[in-house]
Amino acid sequence: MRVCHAAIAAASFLLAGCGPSREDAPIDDVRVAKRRLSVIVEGCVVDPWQSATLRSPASRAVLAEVILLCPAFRADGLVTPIDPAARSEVHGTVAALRSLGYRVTLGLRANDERGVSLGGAEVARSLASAATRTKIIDGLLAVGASADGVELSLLFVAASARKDLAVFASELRSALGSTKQLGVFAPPSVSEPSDLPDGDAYDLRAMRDSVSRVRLMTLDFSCCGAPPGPTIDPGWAVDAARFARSMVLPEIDVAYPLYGWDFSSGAERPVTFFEARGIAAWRGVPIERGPTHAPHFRWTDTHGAAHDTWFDDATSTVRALEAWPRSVLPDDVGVVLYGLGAEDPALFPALQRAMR
Amino acid sequence: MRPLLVIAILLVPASARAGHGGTLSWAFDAHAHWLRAWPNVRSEPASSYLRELPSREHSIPGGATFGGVQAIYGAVLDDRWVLPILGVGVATTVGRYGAAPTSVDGSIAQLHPWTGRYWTLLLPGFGLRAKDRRWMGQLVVRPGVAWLSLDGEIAVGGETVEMNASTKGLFFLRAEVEACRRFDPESRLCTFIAPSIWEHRFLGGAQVGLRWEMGP
Repeated sequence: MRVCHAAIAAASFLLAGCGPSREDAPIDDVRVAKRRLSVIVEGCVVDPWQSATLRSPASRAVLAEVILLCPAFRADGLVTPIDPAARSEVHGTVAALRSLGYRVTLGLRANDERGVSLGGAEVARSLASAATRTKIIDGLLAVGASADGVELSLLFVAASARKDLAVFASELRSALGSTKQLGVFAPPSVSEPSDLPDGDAYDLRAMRDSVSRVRLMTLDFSCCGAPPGPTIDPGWAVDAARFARSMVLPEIDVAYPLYGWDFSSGAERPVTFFEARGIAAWRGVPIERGPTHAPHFRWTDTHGAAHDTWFDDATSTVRALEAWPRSVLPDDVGVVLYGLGAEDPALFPALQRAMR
Repeated sequence: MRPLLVIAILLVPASARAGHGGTLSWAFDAHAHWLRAWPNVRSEPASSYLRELPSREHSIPGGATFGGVQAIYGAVLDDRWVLPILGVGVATTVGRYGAAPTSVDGSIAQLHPWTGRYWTLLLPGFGLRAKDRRWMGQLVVRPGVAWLSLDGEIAVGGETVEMNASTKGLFFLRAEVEACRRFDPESRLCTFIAPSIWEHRFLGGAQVGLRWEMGP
């Protein structure tokens, strides 16, 4: 019997199938659920590259909305850009994008004079003052007069601002009138109280009468000291969307990154698709696919520091959207692509094919 | 082994048991097994530090080839009628396969077709055979049930958790054509081809192989 076992084991070893653990399986035949797609531009204007992308037939076929992360308010409530020429340019950008068929909304940020995001405590102090809130709203209405809506896209808000943020959303809702939509960028909590730092600043239940769309920032999954990894885990995004919907919220978007991260010695730096591919080519290192199909590679810089760079491309993005059929994410859950200009140029044509 | 023997004795006609032209036989084979298309498989629930993952059905593109072994127990009546009684087989995928991308409740996953295992239970069938000196030809029709299992992985950020997927019992019906040469009064070496009339679909696969038979 022992001989028989040995023979079977040997035969199994010789005959056993083999295959790569992960490979670049083609996405030509992949179909993804048609859902509302938006894209976020980090800034008040679109650069020539972004403009060319937004003008392309593929982008126009799949994207419904462009969100410009602009304007920003300072700690005293002053909304920038304040210069009339700059504000005029914002209006021009909005008009140009609308002429391409996009819905255009402006994302309100909180920055200091250097353009660096205000800390959560500073934002909380600003929102606690009724006078500052009024000043912000007045400034925002002046800049955003031509836009279709406004998004509260604050990067940091202390949990102590929970009540004031809901009040601000309510006041802004009233000021915007019935023609403009108000949305909010919210942290992707999957529990209550929130499992994220300062996640409880967003009382989504209290905001549901003010806000018509919640954009869950299901990004930077591997950030903040966590081991290097993909920028999003699609399953985690599903859990965040389900949790938000369980609060009887209005329409929801989950975010998908167009950028990646370079991890090195505990430090993290965002990278674009081209930068990542360029580094891999420069260092002559192979690009592998991680478990979520996100490409990544390890390399050593000229100072001898080890890096692990993760980013997304058309394949990983289409595969993630494929993992969100209607049975997993209902039709009314949209996807907001974060960071136009950082993406794989093959992305929008691939999405157009996949969403046929 | 004892239950198998009891079943065999019950199934074989009395004339055969009495030795009036009826005898029992054993056969062992090594074969290649081709499946035209993978059957759908269902993954087991899995758990990670991030989320609980439910069971889910997956389709795998393309077909598969397995290499395996079978042991078959049967009877022969009047040196003409063949009654295969029971058989068991196991096979593993052979060749090179790409991972099959899939998902589980929104989490990216992939199945590894190269880890496929195909377990077979051959049920009683019927056939006939003819001999010419040392040569013998045989035709048998035989049903059976098969189970397929394979491994995979589910992504949890930059890590993975193991995924196991399998089918329920898959009915098949094979027509088996065999040609043998006798080496001594009790042993034959045979080659056979066994197209599947039904193997989770019409003409769903086939086996070819070499078989060592012990019997009259």
